Amino acid sequence: MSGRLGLLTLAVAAGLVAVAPVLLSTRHTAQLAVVAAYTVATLGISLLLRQTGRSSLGQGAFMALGGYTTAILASSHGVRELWTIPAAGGVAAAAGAIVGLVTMRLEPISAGVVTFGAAVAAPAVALRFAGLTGGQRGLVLAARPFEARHAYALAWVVAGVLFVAAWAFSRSRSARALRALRDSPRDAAASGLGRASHAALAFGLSGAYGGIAGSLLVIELGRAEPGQFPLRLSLVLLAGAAVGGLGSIWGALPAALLVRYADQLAGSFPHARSGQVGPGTFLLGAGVVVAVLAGSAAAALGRRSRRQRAGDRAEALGQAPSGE
Amino acid sequence: MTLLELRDIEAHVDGVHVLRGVSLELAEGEFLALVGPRRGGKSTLLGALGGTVPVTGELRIEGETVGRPSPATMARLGVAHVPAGRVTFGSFTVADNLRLGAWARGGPLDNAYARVFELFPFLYDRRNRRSAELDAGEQRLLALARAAMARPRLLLCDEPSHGVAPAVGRDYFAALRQLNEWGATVVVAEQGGRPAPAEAGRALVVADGRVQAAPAPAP
Amino acid sequence: MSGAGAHVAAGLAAGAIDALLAVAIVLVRRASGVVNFAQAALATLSAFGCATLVAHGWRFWPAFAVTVALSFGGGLVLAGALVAPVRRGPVYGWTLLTVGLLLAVNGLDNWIWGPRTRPFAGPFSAHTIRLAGGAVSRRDLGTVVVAGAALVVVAVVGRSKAGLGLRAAAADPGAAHELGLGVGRLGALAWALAAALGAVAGVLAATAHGLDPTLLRSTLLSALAGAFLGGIDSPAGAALGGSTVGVGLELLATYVHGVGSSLRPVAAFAVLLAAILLRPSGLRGRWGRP
Repeated sequence: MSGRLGLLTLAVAAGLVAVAPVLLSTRHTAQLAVVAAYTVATLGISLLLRQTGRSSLGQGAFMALGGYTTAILASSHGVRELWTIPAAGGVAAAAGAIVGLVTMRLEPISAGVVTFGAAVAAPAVALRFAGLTGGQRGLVLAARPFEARHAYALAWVVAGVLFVAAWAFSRSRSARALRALRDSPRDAAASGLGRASHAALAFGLSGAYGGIAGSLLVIELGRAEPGQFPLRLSLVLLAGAAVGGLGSIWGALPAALLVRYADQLAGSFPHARSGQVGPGTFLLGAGVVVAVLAGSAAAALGRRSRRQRAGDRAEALGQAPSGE
Repeated sequence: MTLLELRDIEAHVDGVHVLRGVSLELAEGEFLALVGPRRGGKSTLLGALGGTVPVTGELRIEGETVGRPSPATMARLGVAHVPAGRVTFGSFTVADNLRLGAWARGGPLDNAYARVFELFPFLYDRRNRRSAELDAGEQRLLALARAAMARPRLLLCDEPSHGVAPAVGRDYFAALRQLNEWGATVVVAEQGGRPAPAEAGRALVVADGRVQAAPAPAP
Repeated sequence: MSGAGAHVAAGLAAGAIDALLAVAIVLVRRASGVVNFAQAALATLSAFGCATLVAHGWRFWPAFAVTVALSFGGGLVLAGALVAPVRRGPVYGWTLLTVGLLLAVNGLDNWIWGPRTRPFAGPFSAHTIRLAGGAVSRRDLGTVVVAGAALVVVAVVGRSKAGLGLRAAAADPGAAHELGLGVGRLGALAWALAAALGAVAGVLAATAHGLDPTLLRSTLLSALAGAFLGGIDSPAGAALGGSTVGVGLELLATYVHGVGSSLRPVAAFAVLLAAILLRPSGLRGRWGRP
């Protein structure tokens, strides 16, 4: 998005966000705070996709990491919720960096498979280590110091700051260098160690965003439990990021809204009962499939016409035919 | 009897106009050599005959026009193409590689195996080894044997002598001569600048995307 | 049930289902260079289809046969619709596509049949038979037999002319195309076989656990672990790897107490990580793209 249009969009969005709690009920305000958390999560997914071309199927796992970090620090160690947010981001960033370092040397699908496995395993891990995580019942944050509007404000301020940071990062030199590597993997082999640190950076950043998103979610809901981070969350976040604009930072908020309200939206369709989980998921999934197919068709057309144009140019210049 | 007719064949490869109006006729049982400078269009012409290169113009096999030549349709019509370079399936056995040669043509295999092992006895000994274990020359012969499995009416060979020992080249052409005697029409394209092989009954010069010698077969 | 024999049989049954799904994943992977994350969801859909037929009065085995056949056809259609457009695109296109497919199919399951677990009456009686010093469930035995039969069928197809073509198209699509093989059609065959295997896995799993939309979710993880363990490009390896992982996880759950079902995904994830990190030969970077 161009600079001025972007600034305008940002201003409008900020205005809407600021006004919403005044106009909406407490329940809807709480929902929108969750949307803020989801926005941070989808930002992380989009950043990774754009920078490395790899999909994170496990953002929910990073959210679980961050969310439980917040819960453990806040409830067992009495840390103020606000300070747990960077900690959550740090823990998740470390995990992300490890994933990045490990999978960058392998073929691209390995990142997807590993993060998928993490997404499936995350709730189970939380159940398994019940001593730390409170098991099935989870951890409850001490009597919430934040009332609804403060939690809302916290979530959106953090989301806003992280959005600007993502925007700044994607324009930075290291980001552009990484994108160049993504587009020509042959050069990637040549750059060696620099590439590894770039991978750690991208995955770590994406993980950090996930961790902070989880932290915000737990703060908003006042508790952390395994059921908050199911596999489905990871997948619909990825789907939302894809439909909201493949790897586009500006699409993060629409994506988050889509993720949060897909089921409600679908409930208004014929044959769909409100409160059903199915139709929204189906529409999200179908939307992704259509988006990918359409994108591939467009790319194929673009490539074919480019080659034809190159050939016509060559012939016009009177070049000899190549090939035996 | 005319086996193959080409009229005004044009081909573009990666946007470059490689074949610029090729016309020729092939009689059944001929042994034709394509000669000419590098990058003149010989490989592309073979590719066109094999169906791997899309072309405009008319292509007729035994008088019947072939609408959209693809490797599958040409294979069913009895055309076998041995492209330049390495093309065996390294992780497959020799036997499986041979079986693949007849895949598209279909039909019973026993006779084909017999002929191929008669031409290349060493392949019989190695039939259960992975083809990657053969040396470069043996793999080149395996590629020819694989094409022969399809009992082709038209056999197209691209740069058979390139990069292998002269002895292998001799074995290759001996096999081609035998296949020609058994009824296959053979077209060979050697590397740019090399003269036509002695086994060939006729030679055509392919340069600049065109055929530059009389297309009618010698009596 | 008591005795080691019963536990091993239960483990083999779980391993058989994991093996089926693992082979399905590898078949598609070799043909199209893709890990189909939706494989388990599609298998669950097939199981729901079978249950619907049975609910309409069909006997089990005819319903099962029709389900497998329809799933086979569905695999052909899926390949036709998805493979050609996406084949030349970047990897994340495939990952997103299969994730989208997973969500769409899972959403469809929830939409049509709801999230509740429903009982699924398989063809196996609930009785046990005495074997190897324990009371082995007929259902476990039956599962192993049916799964084994399905794998044998796939192995036979692999030896056939079609199977040879499939292997060639997977190994080197360009060279296969030049030999006149219909690479697209052979790839579709792989997807169809995978869908059929998935249908078998789904129905067998339903007889053991009842039917709900999340039926094969943890199976997918064990199947992925088994597939990578066996070398992601080898169907035989996947069968072996899947069985091993399934049996191992089942025995782990049985003999490590106080854990419940939460350990399975964690252990499967650990195996998956180990397999991906320690077996680079399973990740040769081949795509199977033309």
